[in-house]
Amino acid sequence: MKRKLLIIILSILFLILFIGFWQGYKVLNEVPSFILPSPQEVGEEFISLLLNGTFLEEGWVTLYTILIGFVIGSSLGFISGYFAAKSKKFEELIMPYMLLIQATPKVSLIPLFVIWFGLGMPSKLLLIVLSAFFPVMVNTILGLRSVPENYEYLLTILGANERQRVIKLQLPMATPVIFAGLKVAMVQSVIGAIVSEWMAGERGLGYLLVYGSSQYNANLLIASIFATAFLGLALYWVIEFFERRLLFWHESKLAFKEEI
Amino acid sequence: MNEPVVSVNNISKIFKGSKKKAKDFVALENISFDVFKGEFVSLLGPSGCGKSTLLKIISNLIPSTGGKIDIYNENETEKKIPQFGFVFQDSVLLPWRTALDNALFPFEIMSNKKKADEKHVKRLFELAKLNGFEDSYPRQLSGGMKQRVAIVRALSYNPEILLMDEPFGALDAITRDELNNLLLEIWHSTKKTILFVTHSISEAVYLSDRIIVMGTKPGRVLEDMHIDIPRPRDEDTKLSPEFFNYVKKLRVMLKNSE
Ligand SMILES: Nc1ncnc2c1ncn2[C@@H]1O[C@H](COP(=O)(O)OP(=O)(O)OP(=O)(O)O)[C@@H](O)[C@H]1O
Ligand SMILES: [Mg+2]
Repeated sequence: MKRKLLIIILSILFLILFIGFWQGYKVLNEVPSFILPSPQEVGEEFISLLLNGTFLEEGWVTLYTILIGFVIGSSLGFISGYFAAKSKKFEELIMPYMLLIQATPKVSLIPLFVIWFGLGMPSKLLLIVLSAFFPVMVNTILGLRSVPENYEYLLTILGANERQRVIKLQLPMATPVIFAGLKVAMVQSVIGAIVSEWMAGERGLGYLLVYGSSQYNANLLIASIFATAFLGLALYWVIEFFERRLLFWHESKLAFKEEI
Repeated sequence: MNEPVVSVNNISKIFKGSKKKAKDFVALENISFDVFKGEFVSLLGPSGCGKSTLLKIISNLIPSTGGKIDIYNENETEKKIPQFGFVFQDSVLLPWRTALDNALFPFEIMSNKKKADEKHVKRLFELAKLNGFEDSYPRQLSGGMKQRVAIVRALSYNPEILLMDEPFGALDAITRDELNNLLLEIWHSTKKTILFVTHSISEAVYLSDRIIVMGTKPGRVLEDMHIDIPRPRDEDTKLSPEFFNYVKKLRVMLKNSE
């Protein structure tokens, strides 16, 4: 409990320090507001965008695109990871293509998507699906494959069938690694969504960013950056929340369990 | 005592070398011995002589490259359930299950073949001095306690034979002595046949009716030695001259085989 309090105090202190540094830098160097507005100006802009519904509307567009893309991408990643872990042949078949897709900076695909699917949802979704797919697939393979041999032997002695092996041993064992993949996938999905909104979107937080930039509206721009950061953080926490519930037994979650 | 439960006939195991690089490796050569009903037999030998490999062949986890294993089980109705309980060096407990749920895990796997015998499992918990820890998760248990849960799990479905691969090898000396005594108690009250792998000479002498001494390169049987120390054995046994004599004899034998 004490440690938790200390952490909260420290992070508040850090925030104050950050804002102080920002304000100090601006005042000392006499940076004009159109380049670097003061924390107060940004705060006011943030609140007004929140209150007039801009953030909620645009944020919602970004949010549901991310959610749909993430769910599709990570499901596909999980399914192909599962089959790749189960069949060496399947893995060898798809891996070269997967690596090729992964090695291509996905941003470079957006202009192509725009030609094919136009501006808007489909292009954005496709990019997010591609972003979420790979980390989940790789970690699913890794997790399912890394069950210690003796556990497999135990199930053999007990006469387990393949279904029991997967459900009662391999999937639970793989869950920590799969969740690590889901977290990366979520971060990638947020990035994918924002970047595709720069290029392909007419809506969303990413669009607000380019709009702010094109209008030299630093207030709007910085406030939108914060909105994006909060959205990313919130989505990350959602995954952590599920992780904590599912992985109550795992070492990495012990500190958390024992503190409360 | 005269009917064999496990009969190991001329077992050999050759590990194929990987591709061109390595040569084939003879891990076991012509291993033969019988284990009789209710006996406590230890496999004793230096690291790498093939003890674990042999246990895996006996329990049909891996194939041998020659020879034959016979398992005799007069109880026809129980044919369907696993004949073996297996205890590994690490406890191999499922970390998301409590101690009791781990011990009941075998029944979940064979739910259509055998009903969970909770009374029997509860009794094993008491025998293993684990009562009160039924609801603890593995991470909340000490190494010794985890091994005890693993033993309870292996015995939960009442297999005829208990195979143990250095089950106490990772424990400190005090816990190890404690668990040796506990194992003897459990063995005494469950009347199982135990095949126990160790490379501790004194552990083997203390526990066993018979010790199969193995040598290395290739893995083979050096000697099949009866340990005629009366039971029940306790800590005083370890101070007796006969205990010391066996230990000495085995030490010399293992040394000469190097
Ligand atoms: N899958 C395998 N492929 C190739 N060689 C193997 C394999 N498994 C075991 N061996 C070799 O067979 C020999 C016997 O191994 P095993 O694990 O049975 O020894 P052990 O007597 O149990 O040793 P320890 O006391 O250290 O556990 C070793 O030299 C090992 O390198
Ligand atoms: Mg071994």
